[in-house]
Amino acid sequence: MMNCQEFETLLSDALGGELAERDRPVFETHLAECERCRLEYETSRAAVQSMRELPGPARVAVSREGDRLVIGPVSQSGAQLRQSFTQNLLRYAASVLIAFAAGYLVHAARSSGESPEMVAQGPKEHGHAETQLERPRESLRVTLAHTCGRGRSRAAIVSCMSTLFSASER
Amino acid sequence: MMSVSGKVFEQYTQDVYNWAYRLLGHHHDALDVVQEVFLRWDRQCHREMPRQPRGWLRRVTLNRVVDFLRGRQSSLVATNETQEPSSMKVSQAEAVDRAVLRADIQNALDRLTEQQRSVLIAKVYDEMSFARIAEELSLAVPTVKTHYLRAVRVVRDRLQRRWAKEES
Repeated sequence: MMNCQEFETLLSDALGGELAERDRPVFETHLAECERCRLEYETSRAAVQSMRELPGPARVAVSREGDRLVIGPVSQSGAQLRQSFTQNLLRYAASVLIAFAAGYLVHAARSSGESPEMVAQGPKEHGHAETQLERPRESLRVTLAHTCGRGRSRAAIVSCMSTLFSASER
Repeated sequence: MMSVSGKVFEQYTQDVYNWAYRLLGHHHDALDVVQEVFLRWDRQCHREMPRQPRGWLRRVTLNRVVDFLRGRQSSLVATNETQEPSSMKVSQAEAVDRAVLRADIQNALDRLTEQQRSVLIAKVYDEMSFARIAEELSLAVPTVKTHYLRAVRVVRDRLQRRWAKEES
């Protein structure tokens, strides 16, 4: 039967995850019999576990610039780059569409006698003025829905804009 | 052209950053430590290249971390955990818990000898075997085990104060 002093020689093995299989039965038997050693083991194991709970860092990329080491964020993987490319493409498409829509709105406003600023803010009777100031993209979408087209074509534009906006906002 | 010592350091830069970051919890502080360790490494290599570069770097990094913490003293808890990388965003409560835990572990590390610190970090975070640690630190395996047990107990004693407070 193991005494407490002998137990201590196995304690670091157990806490370090290196307890030999042949020592395990005698170690566990002592744990079951000795309250003091069991407490010692449990609290020490909890301490090691707590240390492991500290989050590790994100990976950094180490590169060389001449004789200097440069530490920076990890470069994106191929999949991330592809995803990023698609998002950028959608953002670009959204920008082009917005520019086109803005031009159309200005043109429509001039035709109907409204000033361009009023068109950018949207029709006041629809109560969008506050939203527009805080969320210009949203307001443009709303304004488009109100001003552009009717029926199916309007729905198509709104749907298209929603898709583009949600992609570019992601 | 980068020197041989620079190339060796490059190989272990991620490790140095990892040790520093995990214990300091702050990207920029970790980078400061990496830079200081690199300067020391460079000076050391002008005299003699360490035979166990990783062990040398771990020991010096941990010393720098402890020095850094002694210099910084208080105000660890609430300020630094808010700057986790975006991939690790956690709630405010979790961040505070981690900060308190980190402060306890930092406090415990400060009470350890250089070798005890190295053994503890090599075992807990680098998951090295006692035999490998002994080889890296040029120590006997039973000595490494003794250092480890002693270090774990110091950390445990520090954490137990908090556990006791949480229970009461």
